Amino acid sequence: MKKIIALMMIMMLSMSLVACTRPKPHVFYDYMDTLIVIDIPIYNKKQRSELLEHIEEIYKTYHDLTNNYGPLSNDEDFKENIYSINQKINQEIEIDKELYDLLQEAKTIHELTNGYFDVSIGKIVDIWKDIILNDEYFHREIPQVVFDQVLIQLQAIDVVEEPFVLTEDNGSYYVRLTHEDVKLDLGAISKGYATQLVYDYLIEEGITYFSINAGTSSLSLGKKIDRESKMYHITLANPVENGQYGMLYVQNKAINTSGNFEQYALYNDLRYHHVISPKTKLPAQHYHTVTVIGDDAGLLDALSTALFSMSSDDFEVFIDEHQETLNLEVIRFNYDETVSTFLLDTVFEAF
Amino acid sequence: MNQGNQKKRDIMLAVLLFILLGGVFIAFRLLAFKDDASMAYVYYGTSSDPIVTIAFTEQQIIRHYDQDTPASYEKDYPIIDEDNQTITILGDYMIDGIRQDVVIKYDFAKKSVQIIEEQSPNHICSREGESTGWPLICLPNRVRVEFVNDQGDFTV
Repeated sequence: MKKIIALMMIMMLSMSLVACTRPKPHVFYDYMDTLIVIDIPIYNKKQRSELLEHIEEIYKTYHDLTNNYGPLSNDEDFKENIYSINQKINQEIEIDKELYDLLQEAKTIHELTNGYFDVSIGKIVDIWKDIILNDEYFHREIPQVVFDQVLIQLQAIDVVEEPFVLTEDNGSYYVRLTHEDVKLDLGAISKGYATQLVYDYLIEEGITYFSINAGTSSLSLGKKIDRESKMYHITLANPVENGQYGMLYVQNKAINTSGNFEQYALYNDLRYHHVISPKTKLPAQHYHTVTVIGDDAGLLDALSTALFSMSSDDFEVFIDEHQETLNLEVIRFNYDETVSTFLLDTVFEAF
Repeated sequence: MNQGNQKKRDIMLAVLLFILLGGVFIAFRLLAFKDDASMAYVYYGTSSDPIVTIAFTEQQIIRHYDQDTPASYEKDYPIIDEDNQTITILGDYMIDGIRQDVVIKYDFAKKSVQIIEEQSPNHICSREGESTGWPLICLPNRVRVEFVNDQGDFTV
């Protein structure tokens, strides 16, 4: 009888363990103008909250440093942020190493993409944002007069070849903006860059199963715990009509999409959106979306932006030259609504 | 009593329990990860539990919990208006110290959701249009609507 009672107790205990629900994903609302959802399905509460605390610190650091809406507040323990740097043209400014490294990475990608990735055209981006976010033109036709005025404004701003200089001296780090027309805007790299640091941290901590969803267009994935293949299934949103046009199967990868389908105005029926080409100072209309798959979320964030502005010839030259070394894969939804793929090992299924 | 028989009975009991537990475990797994394609969840704040579920096929709105709002707001949020097919959440965005409503319109037949009213700089989320799959995110209001995705884990 005692044995039966003992067995029943074990059974009840086991059932209560089985019924234990999987920890819910954690949501951050406050960083980089983005909803960030972190899913780490580990049950150890203490370990989980320590991981999340550190992750929040990473996002907060880069949010504070790259903020270009206002100066650092008193409780933010950094030397300068992008806003304050932008106010000091032609001055040697001491910055934190974290920001120095991020700017260095932006410079490297600028060179890698032959100038198609450019964090210094904030003034040009601002002009377009004013148009795209204006209630009158949102998803509607921009009047000829307004469009012509924009072109005149754009003409007055130069895209500078070497917009900023970085120097290191005895463990101190400096930046100098070189021209009046330079305005730094790290929006196209900072989120991915911080996400990659989070990914590296989780891997370093021995976490295998996780997902980081930083905004709807940017993912960084470990393995999927509750699927035999351990692969995540990622659907690609159709940029011209509701629904999805294909599915990707991935693990231990970052994915990033740049597209023209959320915020845009129209001119001559073409979409004028927020991804601005530094070559033409205009939003390009070669593709509706460019989805990149690779190993480094920061690089991908920047590359999806750069590739979006490249003509298909420049695009293919870039892929030929760099696909293998960067382990870069791309799926492109073209303006004529065809899909082009540049894949290595990743499986893509078109619907 | 024969000791051999008792041992046999113990083993049988253990096997039985093992099978039973296995069954329970599988049932829980299946239930926990069952996806229904035609649902959308409305979330408020940092909670990962939906405040409202829109079940398109069943044509039902399920209110999961009340929003914890100060008494000065005088209404019980979320407000579900079945005649106008709207769900109203009290957002976090403030104008003159007063939190603002976020009005979500749903359509059972079209299986769609749209944010039709909200206050925020640039009105990004009410401009996201009528969605049948794309998540709608109102950052300054801390309100979001996500569809249950029957095909993939994420959409980019």
